Amino acid sequence: MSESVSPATGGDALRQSLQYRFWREIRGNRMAFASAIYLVLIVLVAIFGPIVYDVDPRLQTLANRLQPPSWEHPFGTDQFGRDVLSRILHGARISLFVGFAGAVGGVVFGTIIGLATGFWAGSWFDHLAMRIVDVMYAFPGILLAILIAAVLGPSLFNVIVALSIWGIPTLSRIVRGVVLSLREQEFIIASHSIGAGSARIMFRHLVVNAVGPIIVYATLSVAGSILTAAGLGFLGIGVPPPTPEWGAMLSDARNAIFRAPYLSYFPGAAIFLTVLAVNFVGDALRDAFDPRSEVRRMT
Amino acid sequence: MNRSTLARITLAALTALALTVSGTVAAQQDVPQGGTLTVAWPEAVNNIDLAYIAGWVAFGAAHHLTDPLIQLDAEGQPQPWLAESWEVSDDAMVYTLFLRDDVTFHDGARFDAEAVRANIQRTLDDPDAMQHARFTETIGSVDVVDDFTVQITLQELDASFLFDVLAHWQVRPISPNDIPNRSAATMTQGYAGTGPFKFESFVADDSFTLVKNEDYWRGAPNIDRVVFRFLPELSVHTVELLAGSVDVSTSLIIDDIALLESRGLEIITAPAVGVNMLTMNVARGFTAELAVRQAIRHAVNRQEIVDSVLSGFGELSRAGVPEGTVLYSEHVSTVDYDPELAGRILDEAGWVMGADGVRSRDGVALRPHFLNPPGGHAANAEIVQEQLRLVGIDTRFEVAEGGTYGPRWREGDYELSMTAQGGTNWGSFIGGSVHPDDFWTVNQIRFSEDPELLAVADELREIIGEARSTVDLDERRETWARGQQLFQDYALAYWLWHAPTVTALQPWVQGYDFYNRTLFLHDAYIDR
Repeated sequence: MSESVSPATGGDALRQSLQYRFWREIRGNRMAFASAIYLVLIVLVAIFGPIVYDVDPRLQTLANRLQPPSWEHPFGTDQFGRDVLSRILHGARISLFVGFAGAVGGVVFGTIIGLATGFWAGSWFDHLAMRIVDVMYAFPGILLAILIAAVLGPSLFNVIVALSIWGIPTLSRIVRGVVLSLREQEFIIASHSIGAGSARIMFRHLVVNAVGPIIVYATLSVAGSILTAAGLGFLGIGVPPPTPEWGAMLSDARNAIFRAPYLSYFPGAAIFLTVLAVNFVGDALRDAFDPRSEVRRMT
Repeated sequence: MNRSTLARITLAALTALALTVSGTVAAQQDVPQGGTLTVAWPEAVNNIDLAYIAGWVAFGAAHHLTDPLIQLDAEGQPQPWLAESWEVSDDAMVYTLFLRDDVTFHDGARFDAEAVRANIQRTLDDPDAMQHARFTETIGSVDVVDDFTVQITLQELDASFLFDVLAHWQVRPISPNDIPNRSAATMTQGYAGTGPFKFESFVADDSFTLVKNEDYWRGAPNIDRVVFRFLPELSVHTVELLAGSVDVSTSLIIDDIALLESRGLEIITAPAVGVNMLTMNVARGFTAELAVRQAIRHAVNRQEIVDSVLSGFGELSRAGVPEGTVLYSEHVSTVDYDPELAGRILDEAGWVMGADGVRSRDGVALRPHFLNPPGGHAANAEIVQEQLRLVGIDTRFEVAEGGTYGPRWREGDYELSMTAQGGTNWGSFIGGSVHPDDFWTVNQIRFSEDPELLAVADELREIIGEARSTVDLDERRETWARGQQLFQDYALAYWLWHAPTVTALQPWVQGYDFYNRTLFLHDAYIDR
């Protein structure tokens, strides 16, 4: 078996196997199936909603403030007379983008750190990186995100940075753990023996074989990122006003909770359903990639 | 009139007097005694030592520990309090206070002339005390004449000394036994004052608790205990009021007022003594340019905000002073809402509207930093932000974290900022915030590099100094009107509106008093 062919072939097979198992899980799990459809819909809404429903989410009409839902304003108006539906639709773009981008950032950096520390386990780099990760673990996740967002200041980019950093410790630990077991396996030893470089081994062999846990964690961390971004927005250190963001909308709704309770329903429902859907899909992914679930299924 | 007739009239008068007195006494005795009054407080108080207090929020809770030397009544007129009477020399340079001889501090120490001298002296000696230090900078000496007479000699004329110093919270006496132990580091620790309530406990970010002073010289309060609970979230005030778990809130969401009234709570509004303003940093950034400041003022629709968001609870400000108060002058020009004019001013200054709706000049987009405190100011600032966007000014909006706003604002870390000033009397406002050299200066003018603005700052100093030494009120008003006009001409701030204080009380809270933006609880009682 030539070194250049086997991983690619193995990767394709693995990919096909994962896809098959994922679709089998999705089809067999109604909640996961409904969640996947919801996620597709919410992404479509985020992309096309503001185009179809072309109302400026920033436009204030103070004379129309706190109007209940009507044909003119299907989700009502907020305390500044802005159209809530428009803000929910535009907010979907922001919240989903921040959630995905934050998760991707965490996955990329977490994977690189996990790969490197696992590959060079026991080295000074491993010790240093893991101690830094330990320090980051010492902070509750949301507190770490608040700290980073507060230090960097409120902006879309900074929120993504905060979420990315927030995601690094867990993923780097997961990937390191996987790499520690993989690097002792024969195909890695074989790669070493035929002179493959470290980068090649890490990115052509180890990553491919660690992709299952990475995808599962990445999916779940999207939910965490959306929730954390909403939390930062709620606390006023997320995306600054007047950018529509679900968490900030929920925060603004507090002061009108008695006069216009619907202001909290819509962003609250959007956050709740999206996070729930991502979690259900993440669970399905985990089951698909978990060999033990395969064993359970067979027995 | 014969002797018997005289005797009958005398007897009738004495009977009437006796009935009146006994009725009064009976009425006082009929007032329910005891109970704990819980007050929802909008901010965490971080200082109860009045010598260091900067804000009305802290004062509103902590003033119950102490008494003023002279009390300003609801009309702003000075009334005897710890000082039974006073004399002012013909040249208004010497103030002689005749003190009550029946007052003791909470720790049993006697209140006397030496205590007053020691308290004024501590505000002069401690560099951290007296954030409005220029209030007392006119004091030359404080002398004890006898046990209950103290004489204050000024080194420079201050026509409002009685109001701004002797009636001010920062010279309210505390026990001389406590003075050596007090500093800026002990601001939340208890002390002995002379007030109707004594210190019981202070829990940071949670509550401040007072207990009745049984030996209070005006009679013991009716309520046993007052708890100020720090609840920064105003919607929680509404919830707690509706649940009956708090008795009073002095900070309400305007939109909830109708609901609270419909549930039987009493809503009282106190006349505005403060001003909401859009402060502009004239020393840096985009707002250092006069055209930008002028355009900003014309782009903001104050009336729309007052009518809608504030539900009419507010009076547009002419130049920072409410109509009907002694410093209000109709001779100061007003600023009209005129977004088209704002656009023209910016056009003429070279700020060209871009395709993205943001003006720019020489490749630089007009994006001033808009720093705001959390809460209601930030919400109003969002409206202003949108109004500015419509004329092509795209602000970089920021809501500062809790306690960081004040220091950042004071250091000029902003170009625009929505904030409010607590008083519009001479001392706290004109002598305070609008003076170029003040601790809480509203526009950073003294740091400007523009020679014209530095000249304006000098002129303001001169005008304020002149007004300060002008005894005649009409003359003083017109002197300050020149200063107000400078503010208008150079757009040194944008005075927005004067908002009254709105307070909600449970129906069982009676006997309280509320004026000068302050809740007085000495005579309050709980009648469930």
